[in-house]
Amino acid sequence: MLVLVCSAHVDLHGREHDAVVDLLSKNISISGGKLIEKNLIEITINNRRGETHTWFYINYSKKEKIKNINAWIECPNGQVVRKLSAKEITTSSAVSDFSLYEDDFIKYFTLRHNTYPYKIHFEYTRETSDFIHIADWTPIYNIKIPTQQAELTVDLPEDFEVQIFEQFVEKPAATNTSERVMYSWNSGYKSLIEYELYAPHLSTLIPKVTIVPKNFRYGIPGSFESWQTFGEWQTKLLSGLHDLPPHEKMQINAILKNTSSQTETVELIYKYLQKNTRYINVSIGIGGLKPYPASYVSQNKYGDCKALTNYMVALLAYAGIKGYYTIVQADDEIEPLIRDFPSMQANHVICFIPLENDTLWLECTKKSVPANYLGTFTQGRYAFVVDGAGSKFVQTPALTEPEVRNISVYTYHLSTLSACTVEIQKCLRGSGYELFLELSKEFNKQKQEEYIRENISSADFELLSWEIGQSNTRLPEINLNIDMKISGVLQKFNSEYIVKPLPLPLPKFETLAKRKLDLVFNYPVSMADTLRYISSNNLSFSIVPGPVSIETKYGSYKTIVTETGNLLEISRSLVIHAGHYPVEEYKAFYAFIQDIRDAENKNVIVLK
Amino acid sequence: MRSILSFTLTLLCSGYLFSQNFSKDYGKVTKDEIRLAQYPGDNSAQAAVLYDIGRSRFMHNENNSFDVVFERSTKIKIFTDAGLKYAEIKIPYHQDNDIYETVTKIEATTYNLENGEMMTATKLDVKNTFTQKINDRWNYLVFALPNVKAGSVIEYKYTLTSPSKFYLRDWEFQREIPVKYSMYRVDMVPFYQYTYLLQGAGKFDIYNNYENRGLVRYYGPLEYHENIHEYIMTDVPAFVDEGFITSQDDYIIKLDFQLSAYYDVYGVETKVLSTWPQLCNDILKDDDFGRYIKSASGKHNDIIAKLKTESATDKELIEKLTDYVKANYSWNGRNSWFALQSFKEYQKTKTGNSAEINLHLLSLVQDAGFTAYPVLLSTRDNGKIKFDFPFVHFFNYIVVFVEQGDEILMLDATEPLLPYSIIPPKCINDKGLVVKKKAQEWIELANKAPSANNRNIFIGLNNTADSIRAIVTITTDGFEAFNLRKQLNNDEKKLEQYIENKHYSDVSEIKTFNFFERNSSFIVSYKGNLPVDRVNDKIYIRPFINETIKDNPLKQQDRQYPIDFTYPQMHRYSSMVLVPEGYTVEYLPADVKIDNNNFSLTYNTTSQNNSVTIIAQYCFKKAVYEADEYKMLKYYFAELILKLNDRIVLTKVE
Repeated sequence: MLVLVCSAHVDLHGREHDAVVDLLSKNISISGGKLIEKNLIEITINNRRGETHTWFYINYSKKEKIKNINAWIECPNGQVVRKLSAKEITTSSAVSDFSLYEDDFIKYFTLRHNTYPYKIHFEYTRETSDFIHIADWTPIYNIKIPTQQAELTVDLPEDFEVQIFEQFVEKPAATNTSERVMYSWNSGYKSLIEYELYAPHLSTLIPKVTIVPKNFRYGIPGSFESWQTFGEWQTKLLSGLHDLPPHEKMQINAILKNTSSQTETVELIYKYLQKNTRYINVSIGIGGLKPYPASYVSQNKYGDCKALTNYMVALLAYAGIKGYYTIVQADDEIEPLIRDFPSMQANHVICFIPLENDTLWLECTKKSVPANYLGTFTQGRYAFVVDGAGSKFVQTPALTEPEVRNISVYTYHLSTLSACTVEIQKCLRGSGYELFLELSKEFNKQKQEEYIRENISSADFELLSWEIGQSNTRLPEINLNIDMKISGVLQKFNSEYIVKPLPLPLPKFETLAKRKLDLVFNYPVSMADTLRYISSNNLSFSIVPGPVSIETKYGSYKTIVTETGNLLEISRSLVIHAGHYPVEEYKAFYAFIQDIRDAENKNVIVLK
Repeated sequence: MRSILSFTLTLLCSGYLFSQNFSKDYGKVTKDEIRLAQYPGDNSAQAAVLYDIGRSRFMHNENNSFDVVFERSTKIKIFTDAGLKYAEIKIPYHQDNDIYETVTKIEATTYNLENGEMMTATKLDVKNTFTQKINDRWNYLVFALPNVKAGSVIEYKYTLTSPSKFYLRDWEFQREIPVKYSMYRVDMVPFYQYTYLLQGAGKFDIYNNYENRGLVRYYGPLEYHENIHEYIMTDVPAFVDEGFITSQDDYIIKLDFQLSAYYDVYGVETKVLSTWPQLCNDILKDDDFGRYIKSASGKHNDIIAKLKTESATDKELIEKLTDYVKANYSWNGRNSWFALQSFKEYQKTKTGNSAEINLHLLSLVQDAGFTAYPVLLSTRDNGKIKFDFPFVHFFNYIVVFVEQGDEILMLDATEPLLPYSIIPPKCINDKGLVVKKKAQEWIELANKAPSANNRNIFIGLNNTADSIRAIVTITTDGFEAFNLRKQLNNDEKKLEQYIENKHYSDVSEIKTFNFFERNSSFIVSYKGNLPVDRVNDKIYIRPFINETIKDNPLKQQDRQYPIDFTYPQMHRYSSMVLVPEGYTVEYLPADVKIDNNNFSLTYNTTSQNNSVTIIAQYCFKKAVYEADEYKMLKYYFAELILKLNDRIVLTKVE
């Protein structure tokens, strides 16, 4: 379909990759409680564009030692052009943008040559004695370039028990000697995976091997034998962290003086937490898994998700309510939990409270959401409730269609003389609510206005006034009201005028030919718009669009058109149901989207 | 109406402010400060600096020299949750073998009113401070103040000790939140002389200068008094970034210090601040500049000889030399006016910063027998050059200047996608300094010729007249070509994406021309379908379809800073619409002609038997417009958008 005719310099058709990983090798051995991981990458750079792949990074934590960094450039004939020298390596702290401090570091360097192709050989060794992961391996070095060959070997003492998870790889070759067991996996990454809208999580699409020790010591001894043993270990790690100081208890007593129900108690304590604490991540040592105690949050009034959740659980315990420290893999996109592989598979902690008549979930790092609102970050997935031997999986509530419905009303005052005045009223839920809540709480007025100006309309317009507000902060919805003037809404052609209604903001779904992956909607998509046109200057509606109704397995689209005097109203709604649709159904799904686009393209209003 | 209201409000509030009791003594926080609900004069402020006081002193150290001791204390009022981020503090300091700075005596306290009555103070526990390594030279000391919420007042102080007298700590009076009171005090000693540069304001609100008569200090045999300078600004508004500016650093109110000379105990002066000609002389002797050029010289005689035989003209040779550097050495993304690697290392690593690459090019061009000089400049994001201050550190880039008869060529070899004699857009920032021995010569960096962007569109309708088949050819020159080449990067996926973003369906025959022929226009062409607006017998067609701008890039009502488009632009659209059989043209948009010093727009339609041709052309003639021209510019954009999105109407005849 795509043909590129180019200058004589290069033939783009069927072109080679900019860079190719020839070999990606990881060699892990454990002896005497020490884990030694030897890494080797051989990558061929085929052209100047491939130079984006000549930067190399080693991320490591304070508990790990990086040794034997060697790298060099080889010509195709095998001749070594040059070697990396130690002073070319930069070391710096690696603190993620959501953290105040983490004791993680990064080493990086680049190696380049000026005749293509050339090969870079890069090796280093990582050593550590504190580990709960042995390998987290995939043949993919970079999702944009192929890996010809990838290998993983793991060499263990015979009595060192491990648990292995494998996906899309051949069974390993295993060799036993008298004292050692050695596994080896081989794989590659040849057909590249490309980003697609609403695709399944990448982790479910790629070959991978994860290995954890059956028994480990991380702070304290623990075991991944079962989720129960893991839960028991995490419970022990959490014990003794409910050390609330007396003045904090007095505060809670004061707040709860007149409470009548458990739900009310939880809501009041949650409000107290939200009002007084803030999210700040400081991660040191095993702090990645063990929270700071309640006394730390009580003193500093800040903490990360673990510390804040532990603190919340401590406050609840003091009020006689059992809340649970619950770990979860958080993100808008859901990385499915591997339930038959007990291991640490989470990046976030929330609070779970099963009450007699009600179950509540609390996100302890957000200062402005109502109690029991988890949002797109953790909705609709398995979470692991830490409770000693009773630790278990519980599903977080999934966002429903009404909970994500975005309602908009646009009122156009059509004028033949000047730009049209337009009033926009939006009620946003789901991700729109989260976005505008953050915008209104975390950014100043200038930034808010800038965001609205940049995103509200693609036309020449003048923003007259705007307001973000909540009529009820206990509801997860937010209102956005905008008054603006837009030019070019009404276009004149001789004696008549036309108006082209604004189309729905549909995502840009890949065309049929391009779609390779299943479709996954983790929660529904729902929009309900009303376009109201008020005519003046003795204009009357001469031709108006007709109603449309499309109903499919994937969702529905409906418009209703009503005309009363000088008011024309087009109400339309779009719903896409949550679900996992195999790629074989993409044709039908795409037809649904295309039908909506066609219907909207046909919409033209004529006035005389 | 609104502006009058807010004006009176401001006046009322400032009156109120005067009655407020803001203490400038460390450790003294009043209930009024904690009760304050909004910043007077800026009710949208998330936080405000109530005071920011710094002092630099010169203290004797054990090396029989001085350390510069910088003490700073700051009080900040947090108004909203969004302001909590101002309670996370990062203090940058330098630590390597040459300059080893330390941060000590850190104190920080948060003040709150409990139950609206009782004032509480929560102190920072020093074990909650952390050192973050930025690179091999710089660190941050980071900490978050405890117990901060909307309403809190925070106060912190620290001492930074530096052995380096070269860069006395600068002082920013303005921030992205308002500042009530800002004072920087420097206790000068007679051994170091500095010049300072105040930016963003005409003068200080208060400036005091006096001798510290009280304390006699000794240095060797010398007895001396400190000379105190106090620079004070009050009620500094929050800085607002407006887009289309060169660099925030160019506009923020701040004070920079430069060491200009130092004296030994016998009064012998060593000059640091020089003149532009002296500065040129000095850097030509510099290891990382002049000597680098020399060490590069004479290394490529064989290549020069070879390229000479392949070139018919001098210009062609210069182009080939530039291309040689581009093809064999890649830019590491760093801007610099001096080399960090030796020429030998650069040759080994095949990669270099902008100075290593362009100084190499300079030596090649000189070796080939041309008269060429380095030109020092400051890139757009690095801020403007201050012509009254001959300091080399204002610069961060060099390009090559070649005299070719009457013509002047400017060369750069960091961007393979640019023609050899066009410097990258980031370099277009006022003037550059031509580095010649004992001379001061400035050269304009702007490229006056507008960069052109032409779109040719051919529109036919399908048989059922409900869809358009469009053939589009986009031809770009100059910086427009560079930007498009860079965006598409000869990558078919990016090209597809670029076309898909314009909402075409059934795209075919995607072609690009001259991606590598950088002296020629870069051309992209393709065919694609678009839906058509049809009502009964009428078809409404926008002749420039989705190739036009629809969005006014100037979205603010007003503007304080100049609008900098980097280079002048010339856009041309031409569209031919085939009128299908059985249809006639019912409506054509009116012709337009605007032409003045700032802007021009022409719009013409012509109708033949079975086709209509529409041509629109507009030009923003200047690269930089003043802030008071903003409304005019915004209006031109509005007119443009309307005109370029106008439609023709075809009707069925029967």
